[in-house]
Amino acid sequence: MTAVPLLALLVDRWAGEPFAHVHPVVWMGRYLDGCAARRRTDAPRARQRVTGGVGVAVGCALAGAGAALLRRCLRPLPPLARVLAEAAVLSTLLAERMLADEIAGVGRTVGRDLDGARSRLAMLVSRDVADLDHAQVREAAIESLAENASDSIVAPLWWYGLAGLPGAAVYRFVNTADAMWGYRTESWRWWGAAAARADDVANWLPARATAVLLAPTRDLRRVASAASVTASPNAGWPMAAVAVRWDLRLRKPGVYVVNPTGRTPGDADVDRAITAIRAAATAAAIGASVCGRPAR
Amino acid sequence: MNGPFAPTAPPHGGADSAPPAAIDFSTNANALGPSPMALTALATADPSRYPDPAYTDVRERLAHLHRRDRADVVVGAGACELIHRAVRTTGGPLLLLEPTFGEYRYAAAVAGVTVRSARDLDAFGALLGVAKLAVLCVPSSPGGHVSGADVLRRLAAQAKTSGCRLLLDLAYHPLSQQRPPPPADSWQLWAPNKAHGVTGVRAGYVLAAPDDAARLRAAPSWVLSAHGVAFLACITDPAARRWVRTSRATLWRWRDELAAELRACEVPVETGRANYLLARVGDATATTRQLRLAGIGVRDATSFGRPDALRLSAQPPESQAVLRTALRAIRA
Ligand SMILES: Cc1ncc(COP(=O)(O)O)c(C=O)c1O
Repeated sequence: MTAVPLLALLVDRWAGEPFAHVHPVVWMGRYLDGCAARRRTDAPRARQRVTGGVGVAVGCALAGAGAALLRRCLRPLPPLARVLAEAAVLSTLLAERMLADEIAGVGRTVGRDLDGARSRLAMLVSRDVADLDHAQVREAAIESLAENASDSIVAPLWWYGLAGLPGAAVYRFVNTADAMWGYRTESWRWWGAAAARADDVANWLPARATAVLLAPTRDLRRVASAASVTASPNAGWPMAAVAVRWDLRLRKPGVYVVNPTGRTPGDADVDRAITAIRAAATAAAIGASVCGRPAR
Repeated sequence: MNGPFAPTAPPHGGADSAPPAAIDFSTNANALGPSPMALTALATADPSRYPDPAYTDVRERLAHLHRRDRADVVVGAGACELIHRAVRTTGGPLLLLEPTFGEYRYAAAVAGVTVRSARDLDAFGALLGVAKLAVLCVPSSPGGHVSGADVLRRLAAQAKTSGCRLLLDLAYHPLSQQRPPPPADSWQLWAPNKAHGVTGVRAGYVLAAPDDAARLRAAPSWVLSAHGVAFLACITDPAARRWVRTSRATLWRWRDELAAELRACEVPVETGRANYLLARVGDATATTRQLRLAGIGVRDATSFGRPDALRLSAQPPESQAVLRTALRAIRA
């Protein structure tokens, strides 16, 4: 038992910004950018793959070692101070992709201001928003929120529960590496292959756990089959859970349709999904608090 | 010198060396301009003497307008000149969210500074720690999309803790249908010659923390002309501001009408919140050339990484009708 994950989630939700001053993700970005500056897109593919893979492996080792060292430095502190400090650090590993409020805002305002909602969405998600109608903007918001809950909250808490601060730091590194290198374009795909694969592996269980938290009473086989339509082995699970729980249809135009026989989401569904996603995050924090070992 | 090659200036919309197009969708300046207040101010400017080298009075007025301190205001000969100054002041690397306005990259080339580009906001956030200066265009160009206030605040806070300056290019903010308040701890770049429809007047300004502003002020003496001073002073006038405010609704209507016209010609469009939109015509370069022969200026978005699209600004219905006829003829 340790209170760190729950406190970290509280810090993230109510006092995110003061703790933005400790920015592990910025150091990770520096490291990843320094590696990528040595990238040779004219090198043989196999060589690009291996070099990119070594970059990810070394980065994981550094992130893990850095977090372990930090934990050791906190040891002399009195127990309460140590818990608070560790929670503050963990919150910086959760917060990074927490544009959740913005996405939720998009989902909530679409009924009043379709164009404004589309425009804000365009800055957040990689899809063409020009022709999205009300329902499609709501669907995009729900999909992004569900995916975000898994990537930014459940997964780092999961790894914290398993392996403490080093686990969460390594997870965050892998996820950042995927955001910066994991593109499907010709110039990135070989170099970024290891980053993308590592992210798939790191999210495999957390994405499914998020689905269980989001739709605890539903038949998981239905969720699994609804999730299978996305290209990513993980991204489909949290959105499929939301889709199955309220029988919603969630589309990404031209790419996939999750639960095609479901209803079109309305404003009330967006609110419901936001509430459920927040509850899932809280449940994940409780789980990590129960599983996590107190710092010794 | 930085190597054997001189950097080449990026393509821009608006005028070129040819005679001006009769109908111009390529510049994003306010199509209802020039504002009469700006014209009056320019006519009464006194070119017979040097302006105050410290620009005290006009900076005071701009500071008052934004509820800031005079020490926070840096005036310059247009946003482009200030962009070059900002890049020179911070050094590199320069971080950009692509696709975006070409002048940033050009300024980096001129200053011999490296550029990092991010393709989405996640990567942009993670790269803040690598860069000395990060530029975000609000609304974006060419897309015309606007980030929410939360996103801007978060990015500004992240940049601050990463030792990176966040420059918000607010050139089209006054004409946008969504205008999130720019966070006070970012650098705000304003280019009022767009909103007032007087892009020939080379004048703009930056708001920054006083220490940063002092460094940004390093520029040739009298970089802003007497006309630039008169123009910047006039935009703080309530009547001039009212003129911009009342023009906005018309521009948005024209933009939406233009979008409808284009869709009727079976051209897909992407409209954001700005006074311009993207028209997906297929081959942008060829279409630009053909329209230019018909006396219509449009902005080929190829240099923004969109070889399939034209950027078109909101123009009056008569111009829209001419564009429609020309497009129909080309696509027939
Ligand atoms: C986004 C953006 N910023 C700045 C500028 C340049 O403004 P100025 O005329 O003040 O140099 C432009 C002009 O095209 C622009 O599109």
